[in-house]
Amino acid sequence: MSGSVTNPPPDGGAAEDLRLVRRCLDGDARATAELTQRLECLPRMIAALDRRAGPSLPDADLADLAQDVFILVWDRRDRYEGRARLETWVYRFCLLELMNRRRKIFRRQTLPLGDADPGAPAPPDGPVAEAARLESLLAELGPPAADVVRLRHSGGLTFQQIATHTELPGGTIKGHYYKGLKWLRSRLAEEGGEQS
Amino acid sequence: MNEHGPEHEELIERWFTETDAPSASEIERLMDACPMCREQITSMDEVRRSLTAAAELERDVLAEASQLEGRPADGGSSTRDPLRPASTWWRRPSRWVPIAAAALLAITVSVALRLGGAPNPTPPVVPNGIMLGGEVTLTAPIGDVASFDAFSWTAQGSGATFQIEVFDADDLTTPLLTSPVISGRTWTPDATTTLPPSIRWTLTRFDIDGERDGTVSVDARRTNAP
Repeated sequence: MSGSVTNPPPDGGAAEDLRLVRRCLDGDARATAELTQRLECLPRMIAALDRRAGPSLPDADLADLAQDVFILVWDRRDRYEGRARLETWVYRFCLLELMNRRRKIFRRQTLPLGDADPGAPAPPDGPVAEAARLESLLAELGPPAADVVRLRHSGGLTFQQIATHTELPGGTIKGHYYKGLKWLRSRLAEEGGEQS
Repeated sequence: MNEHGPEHEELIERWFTETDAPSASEIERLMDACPMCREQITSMDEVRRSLTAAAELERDVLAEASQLEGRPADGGSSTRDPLRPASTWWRRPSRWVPIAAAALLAITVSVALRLGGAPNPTPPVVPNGIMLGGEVTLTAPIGDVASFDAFSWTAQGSGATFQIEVFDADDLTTPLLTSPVISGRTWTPDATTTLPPSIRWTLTRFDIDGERDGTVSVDARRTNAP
């Protein structure tokens, strides 16, 4: 058995992306330029997410955020493992950082200056906030269960396809999926309890 | 079947993993008989729906972002294009300079490795200028050149001014040459023969109020060094 869920064989595109990032890390100038160009999608992703997250942030905040996320992604490019396409990996940074930024702005707007009330109201909920919450929990859950959940939902793969992809038995894959789903449920319930 | 236990758990697991999946009516009966199962199935189904919704959002956003690649920045309209609000997202020199520096360091290392290694028939690969949000492009000298006689760039808009600094590529601490602040798109230094064979030159742009609003640099190597 050569594969494992923690290090699934990447698909063709992700494998190419991984090679690109590694060449960039090795100091290949052409790869560096190409990677920089690929990351130009980042401000567009943030803007697209922002439009779906409620009242739009000011352009200056979005520009600021895009730059912060760019720096974050660049600093962490050595952590890219080719589990998904580069854009999908970048998307997760955009999603989480956008929601962090919106939360901060929301707190700033709803609190008097200098007031650090920890019980400040949460920012408005919505599909983007929900997606960010799940993404953050999946990061906490970690592999292998989080990988299987992602492949099932984000990747749109059947259990059989995941088993083929990872070269793991179908039963193991289903076990990881079920464990992941149960864990998410309990963590979401805990968070719900804390908020209420 | 009223007591919540391993049997119920197994049935629920088979339902969610589609393994010899019980029928919907079996699950309905289980939910009617066991409140704990009802709660568990309902909440897990909710998680599953949320995951599916998050995946749809991801697909939508990625598709939208990729569809817009190559679209003209002005979009042919005077109103704000909500998907391109960050045309000036690079504008914060102190923040993005380390990234550009990292990228350029990689370029420099690559060039240095090639220069120090065995003779290589292909020239060092240097990107064709580093662009600032598409608004400023360094045009020459870049990569392997015959001389450093003139420094040139292109820039959109008017009212901006520029300053050039030229460094030894191996020592970026102090500029060897510094231009005055100019409004043109070319600078011809008085003497460039004293420059080392490999340089890095940096262009700083100032806005109409004289505020520094961006810096960009690139490496060049003189092939016929005196």
